[in-house]
Amino acid sequence: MKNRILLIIIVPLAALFLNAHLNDQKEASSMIISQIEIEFEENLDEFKTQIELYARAASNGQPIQEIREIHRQSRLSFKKVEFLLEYLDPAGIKQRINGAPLPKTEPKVADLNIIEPKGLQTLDEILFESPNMYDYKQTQKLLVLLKKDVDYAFQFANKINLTHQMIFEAMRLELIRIFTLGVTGFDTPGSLNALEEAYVALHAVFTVYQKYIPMMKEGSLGSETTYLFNKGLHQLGADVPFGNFDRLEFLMEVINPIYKNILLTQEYLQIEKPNEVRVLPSAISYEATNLFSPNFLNALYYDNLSIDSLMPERTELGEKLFYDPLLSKNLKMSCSTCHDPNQYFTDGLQKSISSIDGQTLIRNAPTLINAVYAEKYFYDLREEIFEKQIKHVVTSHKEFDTDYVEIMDKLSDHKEYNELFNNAYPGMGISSHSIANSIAHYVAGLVSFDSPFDRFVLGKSEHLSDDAKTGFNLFMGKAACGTCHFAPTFSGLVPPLYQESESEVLGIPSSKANTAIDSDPGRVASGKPLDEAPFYVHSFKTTTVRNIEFTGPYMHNGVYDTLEEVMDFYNKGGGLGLGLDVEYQTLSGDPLDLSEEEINQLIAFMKSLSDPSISEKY
Amino acid sequence: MNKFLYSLVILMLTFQMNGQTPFAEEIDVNDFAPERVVMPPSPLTLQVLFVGGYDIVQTTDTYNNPAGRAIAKEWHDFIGFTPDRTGKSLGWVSVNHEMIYRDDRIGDGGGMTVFKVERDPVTGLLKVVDQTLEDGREGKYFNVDFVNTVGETGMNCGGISSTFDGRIWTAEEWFRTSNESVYVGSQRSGDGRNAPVLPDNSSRDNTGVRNLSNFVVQTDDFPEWDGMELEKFQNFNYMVEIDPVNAVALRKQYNWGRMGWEGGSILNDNRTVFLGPDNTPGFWMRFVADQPGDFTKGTLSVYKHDHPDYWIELDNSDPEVLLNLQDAAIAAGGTMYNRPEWVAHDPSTNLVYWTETGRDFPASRWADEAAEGAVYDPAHLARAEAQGVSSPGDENYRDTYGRIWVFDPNTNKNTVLLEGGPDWNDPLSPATSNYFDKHLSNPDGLSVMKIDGQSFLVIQEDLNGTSYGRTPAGISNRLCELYLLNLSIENPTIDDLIRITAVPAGAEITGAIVTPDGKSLLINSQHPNSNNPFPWNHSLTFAIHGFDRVKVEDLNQNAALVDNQKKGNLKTAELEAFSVHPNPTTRQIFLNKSSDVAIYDVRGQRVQVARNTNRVDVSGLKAGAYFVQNSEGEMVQLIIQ
Repeated sequence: MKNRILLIIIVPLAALFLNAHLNDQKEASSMIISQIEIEFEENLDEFKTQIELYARAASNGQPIQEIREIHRQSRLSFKKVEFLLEYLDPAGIKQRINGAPLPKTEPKVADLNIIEPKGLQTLDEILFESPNMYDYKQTQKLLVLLKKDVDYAFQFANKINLTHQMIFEAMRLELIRIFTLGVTGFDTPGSLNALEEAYVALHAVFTVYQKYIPMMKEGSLGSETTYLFNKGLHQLGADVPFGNFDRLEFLMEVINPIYKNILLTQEYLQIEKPNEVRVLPSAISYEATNLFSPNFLNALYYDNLSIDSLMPERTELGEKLFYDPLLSKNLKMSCSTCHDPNQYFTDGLQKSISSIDGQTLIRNAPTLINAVYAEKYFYDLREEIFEKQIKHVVTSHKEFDTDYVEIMDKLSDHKEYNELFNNAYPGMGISSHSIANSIAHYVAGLVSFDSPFDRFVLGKSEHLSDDAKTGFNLFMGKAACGTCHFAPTFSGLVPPLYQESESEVLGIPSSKANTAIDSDPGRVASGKPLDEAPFYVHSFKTTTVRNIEFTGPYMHNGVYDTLEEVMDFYNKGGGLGLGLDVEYQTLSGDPLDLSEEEINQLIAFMKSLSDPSISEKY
Repeated sequence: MNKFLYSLVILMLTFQMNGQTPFAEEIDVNDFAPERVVMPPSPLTLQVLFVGGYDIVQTTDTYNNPAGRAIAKEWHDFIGFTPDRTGKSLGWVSVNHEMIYRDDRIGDGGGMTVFKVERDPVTGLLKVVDQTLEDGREGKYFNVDFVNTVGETGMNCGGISSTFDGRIWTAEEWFRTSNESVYVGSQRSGDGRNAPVLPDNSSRDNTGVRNLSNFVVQTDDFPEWDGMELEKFQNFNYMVEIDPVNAVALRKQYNWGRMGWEGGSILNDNRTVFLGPDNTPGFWMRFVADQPGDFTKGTLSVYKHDHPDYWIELDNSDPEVLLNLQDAAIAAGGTMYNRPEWVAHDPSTNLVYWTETGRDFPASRWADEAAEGAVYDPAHLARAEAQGVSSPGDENYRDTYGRIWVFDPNTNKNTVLLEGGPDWNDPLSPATSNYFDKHLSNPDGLSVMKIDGQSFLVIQEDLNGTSYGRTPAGISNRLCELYLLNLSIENPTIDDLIRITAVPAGAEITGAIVTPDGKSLLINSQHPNSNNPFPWNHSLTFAIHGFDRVKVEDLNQNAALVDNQKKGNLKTAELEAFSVHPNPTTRQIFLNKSSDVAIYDVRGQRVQVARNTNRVDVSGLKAGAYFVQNSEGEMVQLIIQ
């Protein structure tokens, strides 16, 4: 993006002179990029100016209504540049400009350093915390920082030579973002101005997409996609209140078809794809055409397993080990003791049994279905590598109570195992790696995106009850479930990159009496120095809602037996809403005001996420 | 006139616009009879030596468990090399485990593993040899016994591998402030509040240190310390000398003080030690032994650039001073840095190199210390001024990428050798399309090696984050690189860095150290988070062999262009036909002119695209025939061997 000013003059001139003369694809291709870059810069400039106005208004102490209006305009100007800015520097934007309003610990340092939340989302929360007032000192402080950060981002973005590949990938990521973080209200925790913002964000993508339409000489892809964009803009611009927006319709009629068509356009134009410009795998499979496709997420990104012709043998061996109590010291416990395939790979108990008689483990057994789709594993997020989960079970004195060396010795005494290991891991045989790796192969295969809800969204089935449909809209809107249980895994795996697993402080009580908070410290005791912050006390991994009907009891301590009890807990505002002292609760303590009917509809939706074929499949 | 404008526009488009050549997804390779270029196999080959979480170490009697076997710990970091003076083998390799893990046989906390290697005269490969140690342990890999000697260690990150005689120290970075924080699960926090501790019936009993009773120091080396009863946490965070031959720890170096040590280096005099503590503020520390080789007696000082003597001695006869060394360094008005990490010196010049890895916004970590009298280095003051902020203590002061320093023991001057970046906030920095090859972020591991008689700095990144251009647009995984830097270059720039691609994809590489025969670089790879085949998906120690076959010119960034420049042919090169120059050592191809390029496989399928560049990293391509096409449609066949 050098010589910007010259280009501003030259490009329109060139367009004038060249239209008649140049059919050359290369020139057209370069022209599109230049136009996109110029408009991006103009929009960035507008965003920068807007933030300067915002900062000035705050430092002048203008009245709250005026500040809120400037805030609204500032966020809208951010939404115009969001998809490219987020693509170019996702970590920087999250850290400083529009991250979630929650404190974090600084990574990669030996000391514990808490980074306070900042940026537009945090401001959104502060400005709308109470009806007629706001913390103006904090607002001013945040804006001084934001002004600098936006300046910095502006410099960065201007330095990058955009490519078509970047633009197409950024457009597709933005569609995921609009659906999962935009219309759900995640991005606008205070103002809930989600629909207007989504309108601007979608329009920004549309504006860029349109530039490519003249390049598509034949076929109707361009006009079809234009129709879809207009449809989406129409839905978002219809002035519907936040709670009433039909998110299911928007997903099925707008988001998914556009997500698919942008890929088709890219393929039509023969623009290179991410795997041609970078080596490392992404969490999203670029080829997927629907957010609810079974291949939308790339399991290989998470499971860390090597692609090898012996994968079937390894999976088969892992399955045998999964069910074999030989692995435990007392020869009574196997993986399936707590993860029973007949109970959706849970044990149906409040807390799992211990290998020590009369005791239980401290937590409830979560399902293993789709467990692979996570950045970190266990309720306290203590393990980052999928295949290393089993090591925690092996060495725990309350579980297998042994070590790999003992297990290897035991397995070596069995001729059959020696053969199986030698076949699946030639040249290695029985080792700590082959034991863990084969079990990981089996568990990585325990996946399901084939519930009635998935089938409906994918158009494979016409049937979904009205209650489930309404329930989905509540889940993704008014009830704010989807702002932590993100689509499509409905777990804490954060879109649109799906590379981070979140934990939340809900204030879960120790018993149904709801009178005291459960004493389990959660993530703060994960053993990782980075987690040793006060806001990780009682913080637990956000688990999946898929198959929830069959995976009770619920919560890390199994305190609730029914989904009705769970919904009641959330409806009251979690631990805070119950009047418990939860200092760092991340769930709003305000009641959700859901009616009994709405709760039933939510539960109907959640039940539509059950895959009944699981017990047959595994 | 129209014609004039037209050509002007064409000119503008060609040279000013961000050109975007469309490349067909598929081409008919039979249509071309192109020039053919062969990329020979890399002279560098890989060999795995020690796999964490997989290889078995021999353990001593520990926590009432008899000596036996255990699966080695992971998170490999520093590597020490102790040459075998007898010449019977090459020597002993010591590997740090930068972790906190409770282990019944190895011991709690972090730790180290040692093994002995010899070189096969025929194949040139290294062989881990069987040993029987003095304590009777037999095997290939041995756990260094800390529990029964000097007490557990934690987060063993960097260390010292003396170039004088191969003595080894491990650094304990895991800075602890209370016993609860050693047990884990209960930690000091911003508001001083303690979190609840897991109940004893926890299912998670694999972290932390089990024995929290007071540690009674028993040592003949430090009379002031002998018999002292330390709270357990106070026995962490030292430099700890080990004996790699017998796989035992020798001493915690109490007289160097307690800090979050990361790295160090011993000069040719075998007396002077420079030390880097990973902290903000971190101080540049020096210990000078009274007698060469006896590091139990000597003076300890903190660097102060604005003092006529440069070094302020701290009282290391007083355990109270040593236990609170950071306070003493601040009180002495020492010069503050932002996370000093590894230290390395070049034995041929005695210059000392060290990494300051940086942290994004350091203000809150050192503003108070500045108020108490510690001082900022002029380099940080100048950076702050350039950024338009009041001082490095301003909350908007950024130090995102870190840098590499060179310290001259003769002049006592610390100078920035190479600034990390380029900083994209600097108007002069290049467009980020060039960042992939040429961005130095958060240098961490550091050592010096000779290649072809020339000293090179071996630089390993350990990214603090992925923001602000530390990874290229579209990549949000941390991507840590291994670079070489020719130390004969005066005022080196980022462009002089030579990227070595012979490392597993997605790994964090650290610990690089050359074997005494100069043939191999030993490297650790930490938790590579990708789908590499076993064992490259584990923490492991591996060797890159073949550095004895590499010539300095093999590492040139673009031999063809340099050659043309020398001949004054640069203009001709721009106009001449498209040509491709492979560099087998760095696994890059260089183009004779900048262009967009697409690489097609033998079936004509597009497999890789790079834009606006004169070099392409092809280390991801398997051996075979490829076709390289540029913006003009010109084609070269590339055979990768």
